[in-house]
Amino acid sequence: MVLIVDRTGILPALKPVMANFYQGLMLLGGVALLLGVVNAAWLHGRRIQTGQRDWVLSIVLLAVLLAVFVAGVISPQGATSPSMTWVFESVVAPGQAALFALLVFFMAAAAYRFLRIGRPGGAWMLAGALAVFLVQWPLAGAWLPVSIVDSTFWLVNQPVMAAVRGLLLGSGIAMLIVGLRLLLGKA
Amino acid sequence: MNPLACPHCGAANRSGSNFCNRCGADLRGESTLRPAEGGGQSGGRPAPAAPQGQPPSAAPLPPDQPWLRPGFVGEDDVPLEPEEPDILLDVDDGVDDATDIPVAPGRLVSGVQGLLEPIRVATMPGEGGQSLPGMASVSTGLVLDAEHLRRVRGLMAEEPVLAAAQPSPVRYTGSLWLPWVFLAIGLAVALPVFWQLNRPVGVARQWPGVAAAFDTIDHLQATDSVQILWAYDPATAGELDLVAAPVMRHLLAQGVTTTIVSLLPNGPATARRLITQVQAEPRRLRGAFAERAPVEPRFLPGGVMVLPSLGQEPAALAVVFAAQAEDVQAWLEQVAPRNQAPVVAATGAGADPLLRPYLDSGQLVGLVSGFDGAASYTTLLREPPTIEREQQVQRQLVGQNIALLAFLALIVAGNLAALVGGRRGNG
Repeated sequence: MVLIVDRTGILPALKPVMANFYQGLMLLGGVALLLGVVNAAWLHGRRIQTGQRDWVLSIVLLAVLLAVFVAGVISPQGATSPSMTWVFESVVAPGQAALFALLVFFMAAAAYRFLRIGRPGGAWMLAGALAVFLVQWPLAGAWLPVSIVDSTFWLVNQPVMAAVRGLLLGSGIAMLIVGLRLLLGKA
Repeated sequence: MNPLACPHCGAANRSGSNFCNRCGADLRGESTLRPAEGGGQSGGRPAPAAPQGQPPSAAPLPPDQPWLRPGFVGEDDVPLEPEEPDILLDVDDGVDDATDIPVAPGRLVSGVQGLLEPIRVATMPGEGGQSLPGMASVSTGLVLDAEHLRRVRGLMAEEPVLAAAQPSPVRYTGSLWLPWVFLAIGLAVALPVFWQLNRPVGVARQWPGVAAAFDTIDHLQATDSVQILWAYDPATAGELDLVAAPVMRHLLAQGVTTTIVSLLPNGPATARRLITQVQAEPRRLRGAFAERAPVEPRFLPGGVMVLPSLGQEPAALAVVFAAQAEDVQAWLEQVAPRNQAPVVAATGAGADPLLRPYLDSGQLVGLVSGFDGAASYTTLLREPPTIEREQQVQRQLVGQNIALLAFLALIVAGNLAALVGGRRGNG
């Protein structure tokens, strides 16, 4: 309720209260993160202890967790220490980028299987995908008529965005109702 | 523990489930059903009563509805497979299954997934003793056991197929093996990189919003403060670094005070890496880089919930570097209305269509997206072009062109496969 009143802006005196509230929220988020780490460590410790399947991988996980933690804690520079920077540059960044790059294969499979005219609604999806493809394709930039670019913009800005905002509004109202029901004990 | 058979699709669900795991049908009020107990009931719902003096098994089956016969297997019929064999078979392993998933009748989230009631497919007249409004109760004199009822419901949920339609003599067997698709797209992405192809380049289109973003940042004074939300991490840095670099270069050249925050654990390190790269570049801008170092990027735990706290700090401008449109939307909803700071977004090309309406409505004062946006912004910076930077932009455009060509080829191939193989030719 305090949040709702604050969002309306009718009580400026709530500002400092809300500042403290958000600080507490961040603190809770940090503690939750730590608890998650502790929970993961405990779970994998149990896996090793009981010799469950792939317990060797649990050892690797715990060893890496400990190494990164120690590297961050013992250095006075903390997260910006050279060792942490090395971990980020050489392990985290390439790993995340490689995993995300796999997405292109799923997208290719989806484009091959689902952007088909014969599927229910497939023609619409195909038309939309082709329009966005063409407009964002540098190779088509030289010869694509401006009218097609403008038409695609109009489609995105008017009917598509109207539908998206309608969905957002509907889900927002639904969440509001669910929240109120929870608060009132009606759920 | 007996599984709960879904009256809609027949899938087995854990006892106490409110909704079907497969089709989402409402299971509240259904009772459990052992696979062996098929006859006469469907998920606890009483079957329509048989006419007096006629045993249920003697009910005549309509000749034009062969699927009602026991053991009928249609052409399109795919036997349902249990999603979790261990819950379908009620094997007494000495462990009480009820302890697996404790079902509390008043649990907090029990109603959330059922916010929208699933559409119930019309089944049999008089089912559950209810009939449709305005319709007289119809008795067909037909009694179906659970298996038949499930089959009929499954057929009703599928697309109708003409009974007289003959199977096509052309059977499509040359389906494209999915790894070929993967190989094609992998080659399309990798070849331009390894062979260092320099064409086709095409034209980097200057989208509306790039010039506005440039002008907004260009008018900042050295005394101004700028809030920056760093909403991407190494996963998307391949594209986003190229977009963020010219914008960040411009901000640093203006000498403004920056506050950089990120909701992603790896966001601050990503920001630090890019800023270090930008600061290490030769100073070729109109003015030299200001000596003022940017504030150390911070990680904000707590997710979107803590974003409103940033709205309590005044700022001359907010810049959101985001891989997804949702992060920009969250800023526009949670922060911008509070401190009224104009917002510039620098995003990936995928987020562009969703954010462009915000640009047209004025909620965003500038939008830089994708390789095109990065190339356009770099041009506006009027930096003397370096060979290295030109080659970088060229490589990106060539890669984008070939990858999009490969996608178009896959789409055409998929449609051709469907054309040759008919409706069920999935390639």
